This record gives sequence, C-alpha cells and structure tokens, in this order.
Amino acid sequence: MLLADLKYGLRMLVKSPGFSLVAILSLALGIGANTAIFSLVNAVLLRPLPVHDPQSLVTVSTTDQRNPGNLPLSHLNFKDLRAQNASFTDMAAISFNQVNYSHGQESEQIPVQVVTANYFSLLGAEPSLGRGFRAEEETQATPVAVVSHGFWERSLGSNPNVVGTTVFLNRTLYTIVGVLGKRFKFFGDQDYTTVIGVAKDSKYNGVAEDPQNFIYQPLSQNYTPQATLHVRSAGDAASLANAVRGAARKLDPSLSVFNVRTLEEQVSTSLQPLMMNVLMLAVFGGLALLLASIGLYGVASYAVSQRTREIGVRMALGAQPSSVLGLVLGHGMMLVFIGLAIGLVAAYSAAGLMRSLVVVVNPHDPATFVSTAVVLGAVALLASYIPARRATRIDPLIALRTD
Amino acid sequence: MNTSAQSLIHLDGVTKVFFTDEVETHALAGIHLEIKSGEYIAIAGPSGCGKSTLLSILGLLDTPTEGRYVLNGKEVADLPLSERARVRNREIGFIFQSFNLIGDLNVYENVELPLTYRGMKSAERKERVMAALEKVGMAHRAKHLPSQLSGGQQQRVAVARAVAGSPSILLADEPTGNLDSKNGEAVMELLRELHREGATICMVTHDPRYARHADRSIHLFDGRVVEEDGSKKGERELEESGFDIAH
Repeated sequence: MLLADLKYGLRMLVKSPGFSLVAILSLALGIGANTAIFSLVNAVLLRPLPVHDPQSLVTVSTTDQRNPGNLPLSHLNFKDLRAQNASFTDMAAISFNQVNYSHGQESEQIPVQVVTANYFSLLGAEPSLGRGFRAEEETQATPVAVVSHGFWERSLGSNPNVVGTTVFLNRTLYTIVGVLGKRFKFFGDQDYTTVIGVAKDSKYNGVAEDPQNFIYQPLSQNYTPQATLHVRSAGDAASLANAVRGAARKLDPSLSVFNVRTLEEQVSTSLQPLMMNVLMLAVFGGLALLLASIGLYGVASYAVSQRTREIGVRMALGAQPSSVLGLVLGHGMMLVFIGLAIGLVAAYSAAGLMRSLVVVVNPHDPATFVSTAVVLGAVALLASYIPARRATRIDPLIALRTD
Repeated sequence: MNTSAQSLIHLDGVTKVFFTDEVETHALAGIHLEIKSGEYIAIAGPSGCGKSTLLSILGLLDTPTEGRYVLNGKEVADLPLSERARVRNREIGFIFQSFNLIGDLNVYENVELPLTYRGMKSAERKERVMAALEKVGMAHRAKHLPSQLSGGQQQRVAVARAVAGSPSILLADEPTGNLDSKNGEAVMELLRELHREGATICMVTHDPRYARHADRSIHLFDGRVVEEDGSKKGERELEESGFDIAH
C-alpha cells in the first residue's frame, strides 16, 4: 500500500511539475540552509565541552598589585595555595611557553603548555594514547612530554606506536608518554591569557582560529614564573571565588584574584562575537524552514482540495481513513524526499563554505546530516500531515456531489 | 422475482431529516423496504423525491435519522466509520451517474482499487480485475486512462469496478444519466446480463424506460413510497421474446 501511495504521489508530482518544482525547491532551500546552519550551531553551541563536569571547573586569574596588569599566579604561590587549600576538590596550574622542536635538519618553534601532573585528570581529558603525567614527574627532571592530537598527526605521522619514542625539544631528547584526544581544546582569553578547554585541538584565542599544535610538559621541565589556575570544586562557583580570594590574600596580601569563571562561562565569553551571527543564521534557517513548511502545507492542502471528489470516490469504494491519510502523505513524502536529497547536497557544499568562515565546523559530520535530515523531514511531513488528516474527515457523500 | 430468496436488505421505518438553521427537510419518511438476494429493483420518482438519499443510506454513505437498516442479516445503521468503509468495500458495488473513475489511474488500476482496499493479494486482484474487464468487454483497454475512453466505455469500466469484488448488491445511481440513448441501452443490457448471472441490483432512475428493466419498481414521492410494482419480470420476459406490451 505504501509503495502504491508513493507511486501515486510521484504521478501527482509529475502531473503538475511547476507546482511540484516550487515546493521541492523551497523545501530544498529550507532543509539545505538548516542543515548547514545546524552544523555551525552544533559545533558552536550544542556540542558539550570535552572536559568532565565543566560547571564545577573554574579558572582563576591573578595579578600582583605591585605590578598590575601582568603576571598570573606564580608557580611557587600556586604550590602554597594548593598545599593550604581546604575548599577545593582539586587545583591545577598551567602556563605557556615555547620550545624548539628539532626533526632531521629542521627545527621549529612549538607552543608548550606547562602543566601540573594532575592537569589532565582534573579536566577529565585523559590522553587518548599512553598516559598523563605522574606526580613524581612534576618534581623530577625526567624529560617526558604529552603531545596534542594535531601535533601527533602533523609532526609524528599519526604513529600509533608513538608512546615510548623520542623527540628533540630544546636540543634535549624527550620520551613521549601520551597523545591527547582529538576533541580536546585549549585556548585563553585574549586580554588575560586565562586558559579554558573546549574541543578538539588546542586554541588560544577563540573558536575562530585554527587549532594549534601543542606539546605539554610537566612544570619542572619547562619552568615559567607564572601559572593560571584550574580549580575544581564540589560547591558553586560564586562561593569558590571568595575561597580562592581569601586563600590568596592569606598567602600574599598584594596578590589580587579576579576573573573567577566556570569553564562554561569562559567559553560563552569567547563565543560572544560569533554567537550573534550564529543566532541570526539560526533565525534565518528557522524562517526558511517555516516558509518551506508553509509551502508544503499549501501544496498538500491544494492537492486535497483538488482531489476532494477523488477522495470521496475512494472512500465510497471502501478506503479506510488510514488509506486516505497514506495517499495524501505519499504525495507529501515524495516532495519531502526529493527536497531532502537536493537540500542535503546543497548543505554539503554550504557547510564547506562555513568551514572556511569558521574553522570549528566539521562540514561533513554524518551525525549532523542524519539528525538534521530526520528532524527537518519530520517537520516537513507534519506540514503535509495536517491536510492529510483533514482529508480523512471528508464526507464521501458531500465529496461525490463536488464538481 | 424469486420470492423464496433470502432477504438481503431490510429497511424498517427509515427516515432522513436534514437540519439547517431554521428548516427541517424530511427527505425520507418511514421507508419500509425489503430487497431479496438476486433481485433487480428500480427506485423511481421525480427529482427531490428522496431516491438518491435512499440509495446513499443503502450504500452506507449516509445514516438514517431513524429506523433500522439490516444488510445481510447485520444491523448497519449505526456502524462506526471504519466499519462502514469495510462493509461498503465488501458488500456493496457502486455505479455512479458520472462514472467517478479516477483520472490519474488507468482502467486496470481503477478496477483494482476496491480490491486493494480489501487487502487482496496481487495475483488474485489481477485475476478478478481481468475477469471483470472481460465481462464488460473492456479488457483490451486495461492500460488506457479514463480520459481516453468514451462515456459508455467509462461506465462499463465503472461497472467492472463495481462487480470485481463480487459484492452482495450493486447500487446504481442513474447509471445512464450521462450517456446517450445507445450507450444507455448498452449499459442497461450489461446490468441485465449481470442480473441474469445472479447479481442483486438496486438502481435509481427517473426514466420509466429504464425502470422497466427491473423485476420490481418502487416509486417515491416526497420521501414516501407511493407505489410499488412487482410484476415486471414477466412483462419484460414477454417483451424480450417479441411481444409488444402497451403501457
């Protein structure tokens, strides 16, 4: 029966090609625009941060009042803070530096994230290959490193046996102990160099920049006099701010703590310039889908009004309401299927364009395409379901009198 | 008329009242009617007398305001919509004045349609459709669209569609109304032939010439049966054998 309905739907479609074409194109436009936009919305707004419980993870910036506008918390102050603390679940520090990576006859400057040993476990972002740093590696000068996924791909040829191999950093032989997962991101606030984690490879200045290739080192191996804190707490972020502030003042009255924000707030702040564009695109996408659905509703309603007598005849011959529903939906489904096919191909291309505008978008994410197609297809089908449902209530006696 | 035949349709005190804002129109007023299996009955009368309303009730396209309707031993006046559709599909074959073939379906598909709604398997459908088309002499037009056929041919296809499912009764609403006299006669001959083969037929007509083809005629006026003539079969048989009977 379904096949017969689809066949009949195709016949109806061919019967009025102009009308069908307009409906299909409007659907394709709506579906295509929404799929492309959803790729962006998904990447920017919906995809969860690749860290454990980001709401309880807070970043803290500090400044020295004797030397304002500069210098996050010093490494030694961090150690004291961590030792004295009783208010936090855990605390990690991170600072940034550069190393000279030598390979063959060539060498290049690679950004380094110098972290405490608990950094990866605090974020809940354990390396996808090998392991993170051990506590003893924070104090011993054992030359070990964790590399970012991008560095592993670009510079180490995605070698699956990379753990245990050696790389030259600052003319010192280092043993690789781990590779960080692909979705782990790390970028800081432009003004305060506060560090937050997002997704995939590490980034410094927001989602719009290209992923950076990083090397992670334990604090002891690339000492810098400053560090930024990651603090995880079981309590709420607001009370945590006061606890950190109090602990810092107790340690050093000139140390000023500010910019205490959860990871989600950090991400939100960094996304603000992009957010307006995304929201506008989402509104346009929604409008496009609404117009396409109205168009499909119009086509289906028109078809039902044109076929009232036919539906009456079918009902007189014994068609059940479900058969009439299938008949009208069959026509709508044909339009939706063709519109979906065209729309998804268009979205495939448009998402590529988006990728060139915003690098965070994966233009050909199958999950996005499938989920968007299902949702938008369902919306479009709903638009033809309403007139189809109305058709099932046609009185055959009245319909047969229709000219 | 075969008086020993089993009762197929029994109407008992059927009334139909149409209500508008301030007016009540009594289309049928206390109709009592019995149609036996294998009978050919004509419902005649002037326009607006209630013929089509009666046929609609018989065809389960409409419900009586009051009264009982028993079809094949089953009370059907108050069946729910889906059950009415099922009974229409299995028990009743419709032949409409304006043919009511579906323009986008070819002849074969039109005849197949009620069998599809019955959930019949494809092979059986094909067998029945071709048999019905053979019966009305339209098998050679199976792949044609209705628009490629003459009015008479379209009505023959409509008859094939009505008989393909072997219904208990054929309800024909002015089946010659849109045909010229030659095609009208051909369709009447087709109905007569179906009747000879055992079909039960109830035909609405306002034309006395066609009413004479039936075993029995009932005449409606203002929604009431005003005359019933059940002696036509003998006359028709005499006529068919060459006798001229003056009316």
